[in-house]
Order: sequence, then structure tokens, then C-alpha cells
Amino acid sequence: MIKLKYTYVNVDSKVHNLNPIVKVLWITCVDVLAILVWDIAWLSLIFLSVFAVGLAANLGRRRLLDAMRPLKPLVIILLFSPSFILLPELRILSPNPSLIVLLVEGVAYGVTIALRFSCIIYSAFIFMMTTRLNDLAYMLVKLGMPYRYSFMIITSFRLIPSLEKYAENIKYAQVARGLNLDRAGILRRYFNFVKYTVKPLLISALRGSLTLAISMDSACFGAYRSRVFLNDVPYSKQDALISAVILLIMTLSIYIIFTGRLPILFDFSETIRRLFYPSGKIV
Amino acid sequence: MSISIRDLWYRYPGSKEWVLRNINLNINSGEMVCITGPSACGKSTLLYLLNGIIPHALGGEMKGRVVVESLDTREHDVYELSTIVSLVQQDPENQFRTFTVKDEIAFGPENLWIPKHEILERVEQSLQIVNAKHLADRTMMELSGGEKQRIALAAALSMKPKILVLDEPTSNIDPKGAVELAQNLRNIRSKTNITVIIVEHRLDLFLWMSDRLIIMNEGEIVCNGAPRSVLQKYQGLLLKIGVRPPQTFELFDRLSNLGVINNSHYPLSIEEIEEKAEFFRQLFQSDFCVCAPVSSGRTSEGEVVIRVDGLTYDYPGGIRALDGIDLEVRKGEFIGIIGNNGAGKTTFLLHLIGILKPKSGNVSVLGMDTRTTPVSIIARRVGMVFQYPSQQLFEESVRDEILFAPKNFSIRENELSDRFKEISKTFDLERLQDRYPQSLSVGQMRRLNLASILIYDPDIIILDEPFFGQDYGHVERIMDLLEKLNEEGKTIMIVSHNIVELAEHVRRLILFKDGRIIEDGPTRRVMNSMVDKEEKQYFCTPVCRLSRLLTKHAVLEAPTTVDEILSVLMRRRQS
Repeated sequence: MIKLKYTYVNVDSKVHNLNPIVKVLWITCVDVLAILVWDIAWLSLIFLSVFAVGLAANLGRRRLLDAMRPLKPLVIILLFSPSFILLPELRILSPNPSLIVLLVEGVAYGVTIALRFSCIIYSAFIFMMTTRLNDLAYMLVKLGMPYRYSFMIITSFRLIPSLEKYAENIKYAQVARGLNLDRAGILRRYFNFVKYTVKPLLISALRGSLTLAISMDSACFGAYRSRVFLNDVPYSKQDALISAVILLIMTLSIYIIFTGRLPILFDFSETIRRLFYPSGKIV
Repeated sequence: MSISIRDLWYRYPGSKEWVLRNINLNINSGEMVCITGPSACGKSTLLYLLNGIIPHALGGEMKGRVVVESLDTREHDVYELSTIVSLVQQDPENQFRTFTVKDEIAFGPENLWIPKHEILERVEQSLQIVNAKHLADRTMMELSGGEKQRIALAAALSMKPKILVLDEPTSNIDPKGAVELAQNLRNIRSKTNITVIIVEHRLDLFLWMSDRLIIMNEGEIVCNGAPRSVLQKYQGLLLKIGVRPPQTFELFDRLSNLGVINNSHYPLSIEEIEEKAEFFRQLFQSDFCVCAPVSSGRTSEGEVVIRVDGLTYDYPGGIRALDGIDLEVRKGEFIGIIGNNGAGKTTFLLHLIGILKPKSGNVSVLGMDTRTTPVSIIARRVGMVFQYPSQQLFEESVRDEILFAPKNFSIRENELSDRFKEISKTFDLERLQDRYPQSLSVGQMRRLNLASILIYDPDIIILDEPFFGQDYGHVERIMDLLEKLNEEGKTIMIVSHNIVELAEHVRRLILFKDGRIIEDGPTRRVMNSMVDKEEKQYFCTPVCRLSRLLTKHAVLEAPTTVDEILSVLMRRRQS
């Protein structure tokens, strides 16, 4: 039995007990800031804050570090892709003709994008590990969303652990039969990935979805316009307070960013440029 | 009348073949009916017709009538029928709609607009019937396969159905989970008047409490009647189409044929024998001795091909999966690995091929250290078939699928032509060469999985639940082939919950529990050492338990299979 990483972790914590809407607001705040901020230092701070929320949720350092593993390939791809893919564009955009500087610009851009995606994805992981999705559905229904749609969202989350498991099984079966997806060139690798991973994954997901659909139909899902929810999810004063703080942080941050008052903590490109050309002259 | 089916024909959308042909069937209220038959004979399709999933959700062409509690399924929607018929499917993972046990059981009643206090009562009652009150606050991911099926059963019961329909509920769960599920069903039957219809291959678990046994083959009902009389009357036909009677029945039938006993009330389960223990002791009298020849204790003298020293491995999150495993496997051994779901069996196998690396300890396979040798090098000599058939099919045709691994290992196709023909024939894949692998039935996919690794002739063959979705006929063919390969010197390791098959074929048995090996030795000896221990007796065959019942003290070499017990008996009689 393989233990899955991105499912609800049944421990007691203040983060777990927060109303799902508060956590949705938190994710939104993280996502908005991660998209708007360009400074690597600020992005790193946002990522650390997400990690800190994970720690506050009693998820354990080890589980949190394990949950970062799938970010690794994404970070590697994003880190170096801009240097190669965007080089011609960078050459046009940058007034500096030096190839090294352009490459460094590319890497700096890659680091920013990688950090940005990491913040967005990692906060979603923490959300999934701390939120009972039935509670989320209930809150969405309370906010006026038809329950069929709110369950659609739940179902998409519900399938993530299954997809994770399928992907792992498929990968194991591939290597056990001698397939090495990393051995070929980029195009071939992409083709092989679609043929040997995406296709069986999709078919397994469809099979699993059919079982789930039959199971939902068999329990009269969708029979009436609305439904009862057994668990009442209270929206406490504490939830309201935290929501207000999150909204305040988000609004203030957006204001500071758009008015150009956000200080640059670490200029990656400039630092590297100085490292290569201490005299300040670029050939 | 609970269910009435008249002149029913059905075929799936886009298919020319009728999956069900001329089905006529009546089932009375409160009856328990067990349906069995070879793989892909239409059993599950028949169940989907009872709660309207067919034709309303899956479509297809349907002729004839299905009436459930006076409602014609064609005229009433799934949600109307679902209040009458509750379905438990075979896949314990994918049928869950929510994330926690309570939410899952409450899901149906919530959809029906039942008041909250009544939903809570239903949740409570359902958990009580399936003896799972202690699981109420767990998440679904924390449950074992067996526990998941019990919760699925509880969720079905919370709808307060008149008919409960179960589609191979034990196919993915361990023996303990299966026995507990059977006990739950017995509980349901004693406390309610629900009609129960169960599709199963494992007849020993449910047949003894069933009122009727229905056998299907190629979309038709071929036998329908009281379980004992159907088995007695049609045994030849059943074996021919791939249906194996319970082991206790098989034993008594053969004893009767040999003239040893003269009683037609053959027991269908060990529970029936236990209920009438004294009667059976008298039946066998003093001329029955259960001691089989003493085995040497060694199962092979060959060189060591797998050496595992102090293997430890942790799951993400720090949960210990394997805890100090030490094991030596010799060339030519035929090993069965058993244990409950989550005991660490699959994780252990993944270490043997180098996919998982030990946290501590060492694993050496055919002299290769799995920590440092690339998986592709190990995989060339160690063939492994995983649990889920469809997740290990990658090519566009059956032919290409069989040749997939040889291509990756750079083996030329012309070197394999004889072997290719032999393998295709053995696994019944000759006619399916051009079919898309993902369009095959589960049973066919499983055979293709096996063919895909045996084609490149690995030295060690590792199979994780190879009997999944297979009927008896195909299980026997697979085992015969493995026996043949084992005689040729191949080392074989099988993880399976099918204890009866393992007892008949493997020479060495290993029991995993909580990431440790707690029993290891010759099959018969291991099984007999477990028979008196409550937690382990689920891993003993009915014959093993019968042998124990007939003796005053546990005998380590007591028979575990029908052939063994008969040979002991005949030898005794001759002397």
C-alpha cells in the first residue's frame, strides 16, 4: 500500500478548524501576491509563509517536505526554460547584448516563475491537507452555489489522490518493463510521455470516474434541487477576524505593488551582473 | 415478488454482441441469491439493470422487462430505484464520494432530504450492523480495503433499501476483510428482511448463507437453484466453464465418489462444519488420520538469488512500511506471500526490482545491489506484474503490448517468434492480437500483463495479485504455466489473497504483518502453525481448518488441500 500525500490529514489544529472560506481567501491572497510580486526575496518570503501555515496546521515537517517533491521537476523545467526558449525575445528586450547577462536574466526569470508556481501549488496542497471538502461544498452552497456545482469541485479534488496513485502505478509498471522516459530527446520524451503516461492515466481516470458516477447516481445524487448537509460549518468571530486580516493584507499589498512602493529586497540580475562585471562595464 | 426479469436481452452502446441473452428470473423478498460465473459472463451488467444504471446512465439496447418492487426500471429513474436497490461495487477506492466515514454514510440520506436527526440515527445504525462504530471519525484514506468495503456496505444500508446488491465485494480485499464482510451480511440477514444479491467468485464465503445459486455463462443463466443441489447436479459443467465449488464441498464430493462417506449434505463452508463438528468427527471415525508426510523444511537447494538484510522503509510522512526484513530466496523456489492489506507486501516487492530503495539495510537480487543497479538492468532479469491490470498497458495492440518490454530491452523480435506463439496460446490471446489492450475485459488484461513479462524469459517472476478478475479456469492455467516455469528453474513469488490456490501450488509461504515477516516456511507447516491463532486463521484453507477440527492437538504437517487429505485417507485405508 502506497501512502498518498495530498489528502486530508486527520489531525487537530487551528488551521484545520478554520472555516473553509477563510482558507480559500488565504489561497487567493497567496496566489494574487505570488502573481504580482517579481522580487525573488519577496516570493521566497511568501513561500516560507505558506510553509509556516503548514507547520501551524500540525502537518509535520517531514510530511511538508515530502509534499514538496512533485515541485522539483516543475522547478527544474521552469528554472532553465526561459534561458533557452526566451533568449531571442530577451535579446530584443534587453539593451545589453552580452550573452552571459542574457542567460542570467533568463535564469532570474526562471527562478521567479518557479517560485511563483511553487507558492500557488504548495498552498493548494496545504489547503487539501487541512480542509474537509464536504465542509467546503457546504460553504459554497451557503454562499449560493447550486450543490451540484459545489460537488463538481469536490469531485475534482476527490480524484487527485486517485490520479496520484494511478500515476505512481503507471510509472512503476513502465520502469519494470524497461521503459526509460528520460533516455530520449526532448520531442521523443514528450511523445513517449503522452503515449505511455498520459493515455493510461486518462483511461484509468475515466474508469475511476465511471465507478464514482455510478456510486453517486446510486445514492440519489441530483434527485432534488437542494440537499441536506449533516455537518453545519460555523463561521465564527475568529474566522471573520482572520478573513478581515487576510483581505487587509491582500488589499494593502496590491496597493503597495501598484503604486511602486514595494522595496526591492534582492535584485538577482543586478547581483549576478556585478559578480561577472565588478567594474560595471559590460562588453 | 422482489424482482422479476422477463425475456431480458441487453447490449452496450456501440456493441454488436448481446451481453445478456434471454434472462428470465424471479427473486423473492428476503431471499439471498449468489450469482457466479466465468469472467465477462454478464454478472455485473445484470446488477446494473436492477437499479436502473442500465439503461438510464449507461445506455445501450435493452429488450424485455425488469421489474423491481413493482417498478419497471425502464419507466423509473435511477434516483427512484436507488431508494429501493442499493449497490456496493467491487472497487473499494473509486466508489467513495466523500472523504470521511460519517460523510460517506450520510451522503445518500442527505440527497434524499432526510431530517438531520434521522440521518444521524441511520449513520449510527448502519455502522453498528457492519461492526464499524470505531471507524466513525476516520477519513476514508485511513481505512484498509476491507474496512472500506464495510463502509460501502454501511453507506448502502443507510439508504434503507429493500434490495442490497453487491458486485464482487471481496475481489480487492484481504481474507480477514472478506470474512468480516461475510459476517456483516449474515448480520444484515438476521436483523432485516432485505433481499441480498451478491455476485462472487469466492463461493466459500457466501454460499452457505445463500438461498439460491445462479450460474451464468456467456450472458445466459445456465443453472438456478438451491446451492447444494446446483453444485451436486452441475459440477462437471461448472468446472468446465470456470466455476470452482467451495473447497469443503469439493472434498466431501470426492469422498462420496470414493465411497468413504455416504452423506449427501455436503458442507459449503468451514462454518457449517464447525456448527456440526461432532457429526463430522463421527463421520470420519477412527480410520481418518490427518498426518501427511513430514516435509523437509527446505523448499529448494539452489543458490541464493535474493538476499534481504535488515530492510527498512518509511512511507512519506514517516510511517514505517517495512521494519527490518531479513529474507533469503533460493533459485527455483515457488513462494506465496500473504498478509492483510497494508501489511507491506507490495512495498517489499518494489524493493526487489529496485523501484524503491531501502532506507536502511540491503537488498541484493541475482548478485545486484538494488541501491546501485539501475532498475532497467534488474528488470531485464526480474519480471514483475503489478496489481492493477489497466495501469500497465501502454501499446495500441495486444501484439505490441506483448513485445513492449523486449523492445525496451533491445531483444530482436525474430528471436521471440516461437515463444510469442506459445505465450499467446497459453494465455488465450491468439484471437485478440489486433485488439486495443485497454478495451479487453479485466480477465483478459490480466493475462496480457502476465504474457508481457513472460515473453522475455526473466529468471525471477514476481506477481502481485495475478488472479484478480480471473475465473477458476484461467487461474488454473496460469498456475500450471507457473509450475512448468518453476520446474524449468525459474524462481517465482506470488502475492495473493487466494489461499486455496496458494496452498495447492506454492512450496513456501511467507506471512507479512505490519511491515514484518512473521511466518516463513514450507506452505503446509506455516498454514498449520497459524490455524489455532485467531488473527492468522483467515490465511488457512478450509481443509486445513477441517484437519485441525478433527484432531485433538495441532499437527504441523496436517493436510491443507483436498488432494493431500484424500491421499492421506486412502493411504491409511490401504494399510
